[in-house]
Amino acid sequence: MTLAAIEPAKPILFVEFRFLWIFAIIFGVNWLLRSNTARKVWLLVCSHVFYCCFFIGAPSEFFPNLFAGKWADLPAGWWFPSLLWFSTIMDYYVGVGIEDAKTDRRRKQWVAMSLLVNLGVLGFFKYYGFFDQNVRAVVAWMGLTPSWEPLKVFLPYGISFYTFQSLSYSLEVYRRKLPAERSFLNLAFFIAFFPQVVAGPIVRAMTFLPQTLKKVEWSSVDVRGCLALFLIGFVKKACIGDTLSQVADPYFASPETHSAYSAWAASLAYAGQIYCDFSGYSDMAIAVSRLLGYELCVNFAFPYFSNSITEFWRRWHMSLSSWLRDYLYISLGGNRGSKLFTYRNLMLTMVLGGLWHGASWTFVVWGAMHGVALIVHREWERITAAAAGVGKVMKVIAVPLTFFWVLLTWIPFRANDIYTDKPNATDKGAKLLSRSSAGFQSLDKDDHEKPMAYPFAKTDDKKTVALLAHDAKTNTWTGTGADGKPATIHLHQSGFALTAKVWESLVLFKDHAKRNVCGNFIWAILGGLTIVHWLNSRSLLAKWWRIVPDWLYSLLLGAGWALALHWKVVAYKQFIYFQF
Amino acid sequence: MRALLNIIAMVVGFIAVAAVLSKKTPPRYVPTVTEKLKRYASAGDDFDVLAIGSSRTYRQIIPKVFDEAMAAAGKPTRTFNLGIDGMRPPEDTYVLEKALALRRKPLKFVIVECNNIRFEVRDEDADTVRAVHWHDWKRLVTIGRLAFYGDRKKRGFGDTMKRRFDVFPEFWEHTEYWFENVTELGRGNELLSARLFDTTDPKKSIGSDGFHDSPVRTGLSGKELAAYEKDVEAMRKTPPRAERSEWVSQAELAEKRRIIERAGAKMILVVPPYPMTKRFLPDGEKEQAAVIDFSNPLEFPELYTPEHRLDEGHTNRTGSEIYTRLIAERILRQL
Repeated sequence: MTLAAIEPAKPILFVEFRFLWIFAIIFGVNWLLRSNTARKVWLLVCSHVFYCCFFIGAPSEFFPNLFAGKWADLPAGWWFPSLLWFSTIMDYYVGVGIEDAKTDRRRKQWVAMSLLVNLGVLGFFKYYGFFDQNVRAVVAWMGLTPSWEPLKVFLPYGISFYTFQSLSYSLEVYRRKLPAERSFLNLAFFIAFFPQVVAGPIVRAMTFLPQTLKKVEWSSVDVRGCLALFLIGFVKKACIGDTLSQVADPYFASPETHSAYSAWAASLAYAGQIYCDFSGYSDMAIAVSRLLGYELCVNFAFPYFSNSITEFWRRWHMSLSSWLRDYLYISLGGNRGSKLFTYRNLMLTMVLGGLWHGASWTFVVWGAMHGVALIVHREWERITAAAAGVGKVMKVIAVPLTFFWVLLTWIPFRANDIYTDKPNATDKGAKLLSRSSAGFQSLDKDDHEKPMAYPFAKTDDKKTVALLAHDAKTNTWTGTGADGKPATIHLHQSGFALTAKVWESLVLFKDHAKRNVCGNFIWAILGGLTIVHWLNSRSLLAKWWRIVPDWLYSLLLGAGWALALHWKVVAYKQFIYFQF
Repeated sequence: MRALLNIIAMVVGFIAVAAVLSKKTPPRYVPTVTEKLKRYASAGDDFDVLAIGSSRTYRQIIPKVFDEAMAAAGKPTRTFNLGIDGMRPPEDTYVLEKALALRRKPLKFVIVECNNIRFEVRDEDADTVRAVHWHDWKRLVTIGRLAFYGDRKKRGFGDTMKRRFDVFPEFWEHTEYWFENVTELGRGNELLSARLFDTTDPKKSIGSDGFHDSPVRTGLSGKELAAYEKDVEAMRKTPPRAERSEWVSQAELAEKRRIIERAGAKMILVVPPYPMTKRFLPDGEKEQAAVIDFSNPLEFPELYTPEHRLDEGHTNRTGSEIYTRLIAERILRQL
């Protein structure tokens, strides 16, 4: 009998049972500790252990290899957690440096260092592959052959989130809105706090750091609200989001073999999936954090019921949009200039916001589409401000119109050919990916298990090939196969071609084929979800459970969990935003 | 005290709703397994021979060929192929129990593929209903025994603990499947998926006798063929070693025999032909003598010739016909 070696650690998802056990320990010890400092130390340690779990693989293999100095046997990216420490230490000294600086020039130097290093690290890990690819394409277009060896860079989980979070601290200190944090513990705790370190919400230092100063009392924790919010988040992710992905995934894998009916069903399903996935994660993160006594910012406020794209961005991924507004848009000059200047700033903000999601031109297109929509909305408001009657019409069509535009923008977002992570892998690939770590590594047979800054594709015989250079004429990628040998892949279509096909089906109702991705039952599901969501947006479902007696609430909570577990998917998918 | 009451109320709410849902929802749909058991149940007690095992049963034992051979020898049978891709003990015992519960008349015999317990869940089955469905308490106990007590070698305390620590994650995975199975997690979602999607795979159409036909062509060529020939050559020089394996697999086989005998049938153990270095040997001389062993390429060259192979591990249609006839022949000798 051969017993299997210990399976590498998977990134821990809030929806998994093992998270409940882990959280029970963290929660129990946290409230058993009397001193506020001891609690923060405990939570800081737990946060770093939690984050390390994403990278080190099986502890029983990792530590013996580490202590024996067998570096080659360690999982790629095992050292990535040190980047979190690096970011924390640097921003601690930057904050103190800014506050202690005698001159403005010195203050600027400190903040510039923070920007340069934080964005430099983020840029390297996230955009190196993208940059390298495009340079290769230009060199190839000039008729030359790139002679340099590509460096394989993998993306550390959560780097985009914690980089923005720590940057918010140094920028706030620079703007004199926040005093420098003299306690390293508080700052380290703020940056690494485990509920939000991997996928947000991007909490501002101004919101979180003051909370670290006062001792949290158990009596001030809204247990009822927290448990309900966690259950809601679980339902959104495990029951709705992952179910809808079963409709979206097969369609986006080959829209050319599906009907217009499928395009609508899958696009709406994806809109539902991405909302439920991300807002579900945020709900659970907020609930977990509140149970430990800390408040995170709200990330979503029923964005699909927005009256305009401007309003949409006040309700969707609020922690990112407000970050971009405060630290990018305003820093660029905001609307303090001519109309064109404002629009340029808007466009730049949205395009960079798109790029924040991933190193791909399709994300740029996604951001640009939102930028254009924001500009058009501003112009429309200005033109129709005095026009009577327009308001009434707009009142009726504003929400569907906004939603339709958002739906169209989700297509390039989903259809990116620059595959940086699992949503584009096959199911098996996705599963393997979730069990892996990331780091520098030469391409080997397990490379498909790691989130890569380079795009990858699966060949017909299920081999993974890292795509290094693209020939637009033939839509052929050349790259390195799992065996390390050069490989050529002719993609069925690029992300843009795929986007165009879906748009054709959505807007012109063009059938690319007769095949339907799912049955009519999808409309009942989507309709039901919309009604529940709408009722919730009107607060019709939000209050009653607060006034029932404790025992009844507990009974209903138990019943709710039984229902939720009955309707959850068998195999969870990783959170979409883990890849950003 | 109030907190405790609240927890009790929550548990009551959970169990009450879970019980109602469990009563109201139909059993899980497990690809191939459900379909086969449905076919088997619908034919009533028509069948009197069962073949159970992995793809080497599913795709290699042809009921029609087997029944013809038996009828020609004056021992008519009606055979159902209950083989399922990747099915090994203890899953096969679970499926066998389900199948035998569906009939009233006694069987003549059950052809069982001779395998030891597979401890690991196959990668392709992980996190699927296929991995969940067979994890009842009995099977979990078997897996637990194998994990923690399967190896009876004398070891020091530290070594024993290390070994147990090593196998614990895999055992925990099985425990999670067991928990999912008994609490019937995700069953509602399965129903939803069944309403949303056409779950029948036209490529895997199962015949009324449970058999899945294989192509006639050989699938071996190039490097794969060379590797296969090398493996078979090694088997010719050194036939596979017969190994008793651990006691848990033996106990599992004994349990299978009990179940089959309770159904009034005889268990026929078969070792299919494929490249291997060792084969599972049941305990007991009588049992060992009854095993129909095709693991020797010198004895059964026609089963190992590349022209009769679909791939390294399976025979093609022609090879399967020969294999099925040979099984019938050997059974007739035993009767």
